[in-house]
Amino acid sequence: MTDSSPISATDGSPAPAPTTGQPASTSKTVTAVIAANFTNWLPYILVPVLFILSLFFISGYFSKLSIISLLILASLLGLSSLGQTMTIIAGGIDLSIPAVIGLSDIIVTQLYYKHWSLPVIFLAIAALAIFVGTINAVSSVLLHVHSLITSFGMSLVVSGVALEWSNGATTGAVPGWLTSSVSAIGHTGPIPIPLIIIVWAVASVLAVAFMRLTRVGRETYALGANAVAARLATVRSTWVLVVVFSISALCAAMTGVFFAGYSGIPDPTVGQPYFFLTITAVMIGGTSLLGGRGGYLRTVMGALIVAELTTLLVGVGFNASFQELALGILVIALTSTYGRELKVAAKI
Amino acid sequence: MPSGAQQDYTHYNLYAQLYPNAYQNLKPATGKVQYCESTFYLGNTYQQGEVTAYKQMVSQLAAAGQAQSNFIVENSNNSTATQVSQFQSEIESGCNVIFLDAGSTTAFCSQFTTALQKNVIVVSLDPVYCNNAITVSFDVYQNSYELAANLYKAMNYQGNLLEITGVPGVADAATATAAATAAMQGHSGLKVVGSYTGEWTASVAQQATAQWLASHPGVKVDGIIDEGAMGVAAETALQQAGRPLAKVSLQEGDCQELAFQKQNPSLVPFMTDQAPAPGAYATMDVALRLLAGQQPALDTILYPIPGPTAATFNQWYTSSMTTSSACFASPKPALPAIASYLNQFFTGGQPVASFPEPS
Repeated sequence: MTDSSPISATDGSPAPAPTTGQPASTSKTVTAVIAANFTNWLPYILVPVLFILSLFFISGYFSKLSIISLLILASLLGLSSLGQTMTIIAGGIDLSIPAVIGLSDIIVTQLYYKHWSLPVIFLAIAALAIFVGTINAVSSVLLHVHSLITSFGMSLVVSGVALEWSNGATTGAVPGWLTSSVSAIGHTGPIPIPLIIIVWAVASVLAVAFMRLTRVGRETYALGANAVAARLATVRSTWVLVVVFSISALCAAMTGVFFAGYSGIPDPTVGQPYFFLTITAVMIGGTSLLGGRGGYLRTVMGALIVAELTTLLVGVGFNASFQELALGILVIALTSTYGRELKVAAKI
Repeated sequence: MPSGAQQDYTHYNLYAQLYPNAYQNLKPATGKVQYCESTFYLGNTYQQGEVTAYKQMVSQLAAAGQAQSNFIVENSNNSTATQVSQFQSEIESGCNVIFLDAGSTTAFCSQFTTALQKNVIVVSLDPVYCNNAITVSFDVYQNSYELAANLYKAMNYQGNLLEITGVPGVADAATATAAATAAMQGHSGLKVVGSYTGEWTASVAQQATAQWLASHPGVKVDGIIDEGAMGVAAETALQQAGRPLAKVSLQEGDCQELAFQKQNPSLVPFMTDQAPAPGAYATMDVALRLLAGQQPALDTILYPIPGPTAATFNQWYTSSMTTSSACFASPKPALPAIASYLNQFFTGGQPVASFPEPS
């Protein structure tokens, strides 16, 4: 029930080879174990492979500015996918992420322009995000419908609020440090790395620790693996959903704040590309859409793969249509590979 | 075609199709007119600016007793099929004038016939390839050609260009690309090193430019072909990647473009004002004339695009504008020229009682 549970108890570690059975079947099982371990490691292998391919195809790719630019794009996707990973492991999905990104972008640019203090703005955004996440979770539980529906409804509501708030002829502003936090030439104090990359790195460590070490994290896996069994095992399903959907909305809101720094203007539609991209990053990483399996470390790899692949395709001259085609093929290829799990007998 | 307008129709066949006036037998609504809009585009900043301008003008007309106070807007969220359905619904539900931001040049033709039969005036903001409606627009091809030609000239016809295109599949986007390409003919020193879509959205253009810059670390960018509201976003991406800024012609006339021009006058050789309010004003002007019984010379009115020059820049720019601004400049400097230009297209009927203006 942890990061790579189909095969092993810990993320990425090889599963134990079977010790019983006939020689022929043992041979087949060993082959299956090797194949399953390979697919388990695939996202971790793809990241350096794509990087090396990019070095080969793109002149000057191994420069600090290029690598940091790539990491900024991956960070935006990675942060917005953090909560998505948790909701999917819990057996749900959060379709309100793009709308929350847009609303957060609007709030920070509009209120900062009106001279609100940043701590107050951030608190307001956080409170709103927790409210949205809670409504997503509670409405799903109370109405007995999948979060696909409730979060999609919430997405429309939040988008409507963002559009109504921005209302066309508006002006926004963001502090200089926020712009610098998503700039390839930005610094975080004395460190010559923009803030967003550091925030993503810290958030990644916290997310992995949360899922592995806390009770709510373990309950998230249990709920996603089998909701009925989880309830019988006294898993606090409503509380778990409230926590993961709130984290999802908070991460989306944080992404929206960074987007505000990125473009500097209020744009309610800024999160739209992330409608499918967050799910793509989760799937490419190897977290099961059926819930109960996977982990955020895998999504980090998924976000890096998406950013690297897109950069590589742009670098060799493929247009946006082909980039989507390539991402689609990658999703199908990887998810079909991930589906090739060991039979239960081979795991024992 | 009026002789004073012929120069604005030089390349009309690359953008629009002309048909005779279809409103000879129109029995226009009297009393309080119901104004409506049908739009293809999701509520982006431009679209919202357009609706705001219409609402302001309808509000003024309502105060004068010439319009219903509510302005009905249907948004199809980028679905042509939905827009056709919404448009039909507006015709049936009592709209007297419908402003149309069409997602297709041909999908509405049968609805135009229905509208005309019901004496509903349809004023399209984009070209439509059939009769029974009236189009009021500037020539996108001509404008895109001039923007590109001025950019290339400022670059001394030498250097690397990034081309940022609009929404794929939309006629205006293809027209702008064709015009920019045509203006490059015979200038072998210019090279388009990157071409990608920014979907007429600043955040999309900025991310796409950042992605392109990350994948082309050694390629210098000298100029940006901005095919609509994406030039400053691309410049921001250049700045954030630690690259030098590039020359760019700007066409939107929004606050961030004006602020960018103010800060970097040497980088912006040419500007136009495609802001939503002047376009809304031009279409409202034509609708009011038709309601007053005036007859247009033809069904497609192409007006010269307004824009600031070095001499008139301060009529558009105000010191509160920044490169983070998402507002549009006041349309006031553009309106008198549009109104007087439209005079030559109309004959007969009554003078219009009051011309509302967006602010």
